[in-house]
Amino acid sequence: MDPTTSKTNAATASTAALLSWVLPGAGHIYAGHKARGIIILAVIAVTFWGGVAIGGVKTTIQPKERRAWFMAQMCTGAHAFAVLSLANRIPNKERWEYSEYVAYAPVDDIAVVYTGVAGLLNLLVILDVLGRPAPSPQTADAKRTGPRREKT
Amino acid sequence: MTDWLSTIFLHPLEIGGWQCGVLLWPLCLAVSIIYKTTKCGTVREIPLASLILWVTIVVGMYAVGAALLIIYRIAT
Repeated sequence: MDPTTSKTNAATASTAALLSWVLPGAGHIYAGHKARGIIILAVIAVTFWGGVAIGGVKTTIQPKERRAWFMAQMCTGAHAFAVLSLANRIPNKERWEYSEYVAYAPVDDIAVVYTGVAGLLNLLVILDVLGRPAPSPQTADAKRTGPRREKT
Repeated sequence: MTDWLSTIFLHPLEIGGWQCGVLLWPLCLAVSIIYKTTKCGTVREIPLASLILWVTIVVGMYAVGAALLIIYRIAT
């Protein structure tokens, strides 16, 4: 492989990784793996927002109380920022005051695990898109027309 | 639409007891699908491979949970 192609591939992989962080699955779609990208996009979105639906936006992401989980959740990019933005709209109450927006054990733990695991899965996706070669035109043709048969 | 979204994402669910154990299933399904999406050579292999991995994880987790419960009961 010549150095120009290698540089182009590295730039494409870096852009794909960045896109994967911003919107899970977008990196694979950008790199030419459309079907994989759509699967990742759907599964990570459903897992993350499923967790938010369980715990509510106020409890699910807690940057100060659950720092390690917060770092995992931030791996989902736009999803996490959307939840943080929604949570900031709800006024804070003292810990001892009851709030209809706050989840209590074990619901808060389940919500945090769902969203945190979604983030960790996206980290796996980012690493995958960094090391995944772009689909070659030959492979794409073989998928469309099926395997070639040699003439006898 | 806004009311529906507010109910879904602003107010937490009330979950407890056996429901916590059932919530393991969709999480394990997500893990198995994403893992197999990154590992499988072709997209066609993903559904079956994910299903097998999902069943393996769920059965394994319940087995570990049951074993820990038995140890806890014996110890206390």
